Amino acid sequence: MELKLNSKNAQAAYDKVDKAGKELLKSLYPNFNFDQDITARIKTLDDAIDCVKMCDELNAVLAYKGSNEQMKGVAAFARLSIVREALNQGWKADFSKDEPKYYPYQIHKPGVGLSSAGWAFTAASACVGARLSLKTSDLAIYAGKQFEPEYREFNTL
Amino acid sequence: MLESNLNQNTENLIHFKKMSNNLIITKENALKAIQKHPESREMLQDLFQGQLVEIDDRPITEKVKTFDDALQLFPATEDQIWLLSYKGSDKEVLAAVNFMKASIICQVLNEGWIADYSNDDQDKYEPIWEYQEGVGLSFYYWSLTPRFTHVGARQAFKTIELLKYACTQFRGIFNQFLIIE
Repeated sequence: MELKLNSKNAQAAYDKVDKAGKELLKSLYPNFNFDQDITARIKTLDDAIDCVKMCDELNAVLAYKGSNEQMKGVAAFARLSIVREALNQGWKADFSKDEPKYYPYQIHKPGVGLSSAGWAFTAASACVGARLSLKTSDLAIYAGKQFEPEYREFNTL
Repeated sequence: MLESNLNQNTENLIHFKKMSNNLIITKENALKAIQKHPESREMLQDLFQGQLVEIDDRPITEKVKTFDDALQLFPATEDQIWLLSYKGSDKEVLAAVNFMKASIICQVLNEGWIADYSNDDQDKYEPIWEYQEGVGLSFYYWSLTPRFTHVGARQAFKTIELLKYACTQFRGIFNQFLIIE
């Protein structure tokens, strides 16, 4: 009799357990790469959603497909919040610590609209907020490019 | 008595016409009279009960002191009312609710102006916050962003004054979606 485990569930368990638990999972599934970079695992919004627990109301906001500008903005904000939580893997921006926090910013390109332009960092002394901050500049660049349409929707009225 | 009061208070701004037994006054002139002679407001409103809806020409920062004030000027849709009435404790949903409140406030204060990042000639001001332990985020400075954006059009303002006002008057709302507790 074979026991089957979904790779996403295995990865979710691996992310939560201690060192001994990680070793156990690696020995159980020697051919699965538990240590792959988070950017290899989170390529779409659905990938991010799979990593984050959400209540019904948040699901309803994420699923909004109407034309109301404010609701579209809120849905984009919620989607980027989910992406941020998945990419940060438990790290949370803490303004009481004077540590850098990174976020992507966009610039308008003719014929294209707002597009990923790079990253900026923020500290406790001066910032643009924590809700969409990422823990490294690499993650900010990745998020800005991979989720460019979501950032564009968030940034545009 | 009424006619003499009207004439006294509104001078030549209100034009009366004798028509049958009625005195006719144009609504436009009555409203002008109210604006020019605030002391006549009560009497004119009593005379034309329910017929004179005054134009509120106070600055937008005088009209919008609370989120409810903003909502009065920005009627919410059914979807928005559903989200605004959220009573749960999920932090991401609460952040979404407050993000929407801040977006509505921004849109109302901007009075129809919308940040257009394709327009280099249009100045847009975005907030920079300062964090203080025990206080949270407070307005620190502004960023002028003609073509790029750190926070997006939903948090961009047409003037520095409006930006400062929003960040100060509605600091609590901004804090509730900018900070992760």
